[in-house]
Amino acid sequence: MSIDRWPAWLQALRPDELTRRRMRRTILDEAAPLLAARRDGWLDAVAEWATILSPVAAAVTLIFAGLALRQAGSRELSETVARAPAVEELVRHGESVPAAFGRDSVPDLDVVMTVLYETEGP
Amino acid sequence: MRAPRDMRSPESLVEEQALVRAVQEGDDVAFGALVDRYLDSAYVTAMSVLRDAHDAEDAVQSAFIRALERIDQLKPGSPFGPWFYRVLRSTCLNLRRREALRSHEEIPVSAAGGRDPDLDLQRELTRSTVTAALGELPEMQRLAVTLYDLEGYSHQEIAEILGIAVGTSRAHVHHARRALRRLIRAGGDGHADANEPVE
Repeated sequence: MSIDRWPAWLQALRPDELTRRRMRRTILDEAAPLLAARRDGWLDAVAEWATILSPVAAAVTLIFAGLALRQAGSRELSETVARAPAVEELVRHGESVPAAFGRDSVPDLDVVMTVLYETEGP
Repeated sequence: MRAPRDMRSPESLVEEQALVRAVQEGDDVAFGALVDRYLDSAYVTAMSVLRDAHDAEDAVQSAFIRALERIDQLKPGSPFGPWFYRVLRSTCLNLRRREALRSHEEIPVSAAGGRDPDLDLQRELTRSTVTAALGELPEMQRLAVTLYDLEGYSHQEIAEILGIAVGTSRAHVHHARRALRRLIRAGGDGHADANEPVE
């Protein structure tokens, strides 16, 4: 409620301007270190969280970097395999890869040579 | 008739909650604004409990500092006023218990001011009449009528601040106003007649 609207009997108890200023100054002087501690407390909390979270962030970054490298490596390998001259040759002649060239098996060099000679046209 | 509650309008309460949040983060300007809002009413409330200018001053200062120390206990969205008056009341009661252990001579507040002796004397006479009248009332009546007339709190809010029933708050305010009117008229010797509470 606005002071001007206080009942008269309460107006009589109001502090005079000097008392008011003295109280205000004392309160604010006493409050200053407490408020400063609160401000520092917020900064400390932010710094503390940053300290706690930085190793986690580093670990997560490493994991993602590893995953990205691995994915890039496998894509490069598959492209290299697809461009292998023997395979391209086979495709050009419209022939399918022999069973000996199964995806999961590693073909023996003799088998590869045999296949190449057999598929060579006249 | 009750006066409008401009300090308790929804806009004012929203603004006050923003001030409280800022104080919780250590904003000294916001704390100064909260002090400005409640300094006069806190002093009057403390005067009504302690009836001594110096004790009231000490109590108000301590209450603001205690409130600042505990401001994190104020639930988000809760109004600052009723919570602060609870802190103030508890501070006043603690101070009175301490003061009961030692007696001291009162120094009139006007002695420190000394700007207009006639005005100060008149003010001091009125103040002492009102203070003496308040001294005749039981403490709960004093606080109830002060909070009702000072801050425009409802009986529900006063009941929460003082930890009493709503009906008891109503009765306290009613009896206090009647008693104050009678006491100020009898003890005022004229100068406080115009200051009687208006119902």
